[in-house]
Order: sequence, then C-alpha cells, then structure tokens
Amino acid sequence: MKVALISTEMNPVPPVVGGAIQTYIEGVLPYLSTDYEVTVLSVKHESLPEFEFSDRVTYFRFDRTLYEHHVFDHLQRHSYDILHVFNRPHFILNYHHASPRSKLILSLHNEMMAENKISTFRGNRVVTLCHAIVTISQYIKNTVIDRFPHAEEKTYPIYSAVDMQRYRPYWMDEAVREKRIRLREEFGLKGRKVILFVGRLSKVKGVHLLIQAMEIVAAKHPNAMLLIVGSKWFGTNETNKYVDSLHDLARSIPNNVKFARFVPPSRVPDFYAMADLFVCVSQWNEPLARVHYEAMASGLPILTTDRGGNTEVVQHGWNGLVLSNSEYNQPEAIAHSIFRLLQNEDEASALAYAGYLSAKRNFTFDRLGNDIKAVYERITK
Amino acid sequence: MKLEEEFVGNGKQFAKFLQQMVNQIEGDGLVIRGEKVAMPVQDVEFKISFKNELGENKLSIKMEWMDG
Repeated sequence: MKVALISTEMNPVPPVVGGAIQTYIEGVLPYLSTDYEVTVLSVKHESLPEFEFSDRVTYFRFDRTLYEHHVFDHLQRHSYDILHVFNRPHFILNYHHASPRSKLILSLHNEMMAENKISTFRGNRVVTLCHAIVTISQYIKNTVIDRFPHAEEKTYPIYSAVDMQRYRPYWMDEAVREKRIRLREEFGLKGRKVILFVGRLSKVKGVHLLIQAMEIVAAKHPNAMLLIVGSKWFGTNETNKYVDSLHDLARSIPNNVKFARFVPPSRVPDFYAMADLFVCVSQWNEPLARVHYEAMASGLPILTTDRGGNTEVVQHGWNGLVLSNSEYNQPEAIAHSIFRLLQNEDEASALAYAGYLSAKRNFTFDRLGNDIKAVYERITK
Repeated sequence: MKLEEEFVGNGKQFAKFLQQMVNQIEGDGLVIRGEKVAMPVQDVEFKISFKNELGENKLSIKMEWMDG
C-alpha cells in the first residue's frame, strides 16, 4: 500500500530546524515504512536534497512558495492509496481533487478546524471527505466535534511520542550523567538548580510570567537558574518586541536567567540532561505541547498549566504538578510550585520517575506507529 | 472589525442573494450579522474576479473604500 505523508509548508522533514509535526513524522517513519511504501512531501531546506530515498522512505521537497500547488501537481502525477495530510484541512478538498481515489486522513496538531481558520461549508466538506481524522489530544478532538458533530465517529485522539533513546534520564543512564556534568560545567551551571523552559518565545507560552516568578524564586534560592531554550521562531535567532522585553525583564536577575536561544533539535536532549526541573507555563489553550513527553523521557519533574490538552498527560501530584486555572497566570503561584519542587527532592524524584514511566508505557514512537497503522488498516479494509 | 456570514446553496440562490445585496446597498441598508455597514458616497474601488486553482473555483465581487 502506498502512503503519502504531506507535511505543512512550515519546516522540512526530517526536522533539521525543528517543528512538532516534522518530529512526529520523522518518529513514525521507521514503523510505517516496514508495512507500507511511504513517501514524505515537505518543504526544501539547504541541507537536504529535493529528492531522496533513504531508509525505505521516499522524500520530495518543494519550494515553500506555492507549496500546496507543488503538492497538488505531484499528486496528479503520482498515485497513492492514502494521503495523510498534516494540519492543513484547508487543502483537503484540493488534494482530493488531485487524487480522487486516495483515502484521506487528516492529522490535526492545532485548532485548525476553528471558525477563524475554516468556513463551516468547507469544514463540513473536509469532514465528509476524510476517512479518518487523527488529533494529538482529546482537547483538539473536542474542538473539532463541537463544531462538526458528524466528525465524532471518524476522529481519533492519538497522543504523540518521544524518542526514548535520544531523551534519557541522567539518574538512570551513566553516559547521560557524565554528559550532564560536562555540559553543566561548560554552561557555567555547576552546582546550580536548573529550571528548564523549552519552546517558542511567544507571549502565549508565558515566558514573561516565568521570569517574573524567577525573581521571587531567586530571592529564596539564589542558586536557582532558569534556562530558556528557544527563539521567536524555528531556526532563527531574530528577535521581536516580546523577545526583547524578556531580556529586559531578565536584567533584574542576571545571575538567575540564561537564554540558550535557538538550539538545533539534535542538541535539545542535552539541555534536558542539564536540568533539574522542567516548566511549561503556557497561557493559551495548548493543543498538547510535545515538550511534556521530552521532559518525561528525560526523567525530569514537570510543572505545567491546566491549559488545553496539557493535563491529559500530566496529572497533578502523580507525574507532575499542574497550575490550576486560578494559578497559571500568577507569577507568585508559579514561584510557589517551583519552590515546592526545589525544596522537596523526594517528591520531585517521585514525580520524575512517574513521568518517565508514563513516557515509557504510553508515549513511544513504537506505540504511535502502531496506532497510526491501525487507522490505516481500519480505513482500507 | 470583521463581519462575515456564510451561505450554502446553488447558482440560482446565489443570484437571488446578490439581488438582495444590491437592494440593500442601493438603499444604504446593508446589514451583516445584524450590524449595519454604512455605504461610502465616493472613492470606491470595485472589482470582479474569477479564479480556478487547484481544482477550486472562486468568483469574487468586491468593493473597497477608506474611512471618511
């Protein structure tokens, strides 16, 4: 069976500049390619060829400009049994027109079926045409069926996954522990309590509130260091007003905040290895940030917010701490929870261990690959 | 501010819809989502376009003007 995975126009596959969707695709390819003839369509990147056959997978990479036109042309010239379209419901109708015999699967990683993203008419047609819709959380499924109730029976929440070989707990893996010691020396973090943030530097991610919380934390724990990994956008260190404002905020506690800026995906596990605690302070209804899986696999205690799908994988007091709806936007409450994890090492270790077990049991690419294969089999039998 | 209403139907229903819009515009009584849109007196740009792209057809009738 021939399957085309159609990535978005944002980033290339493999995820040389990052991207949750691209990481997801790369992660499932080894599992899908054992059973299917797999082709990946994505955008070009200077470090990647336009056409490639590698590890049983065929890659076509197109210009970002008019990306959907290139995909459309490709689909008219190549035949696939399944088109698995990522996060672009808008183009489902066009891709169906280009390849009317292919079965359609839509993977949703954000609220792309919301009123401000797609018209009711088009959304209804997309739901009708798709043989299955896969969402990365129950939260995202709910956003679809609240507006398009007839999507209920064909929409499957399938949680994303993490590469458990790349992300390893320092307290379990000797090599990671040695790397942690070396990197912490290199980054001037020896003897510090490292609180890690990984993500885009955007107001909706709440980084400003985390820095404000650090002012409170630093007063009691001068040893604490907030390590911020990420930039305004994937693959770039250009700043904007918000990023500049974060640097301004951090000037009041220069010994307690460090910006690592954009880090290539291949190096991100190193930053988890250096950390003692992972914090996600998303203010928007996060679809379900994949950083939670990475932190779990890295064996870190997690502090997150009760926004969107986050609490579907992080349960307060079991595999992390959750800032409630009255706390998530309060620097004092964020600081209080950070204190709790810094001061109660036994509790932090128990949460970290439970998180690691969660990742190992539920969030491996092996499981994700099998879940996707099950959807493919269901729609083609 | 953005006001938008969406309709689904056939070509004849679209033609009828256009006639209703014409009447509303002529009578300075255009209403979208319950909000009245004040018609400009002059300096209006209007156009009609048709596009067929990626198997999809789009007919647009559009008018644009600046706040007075």
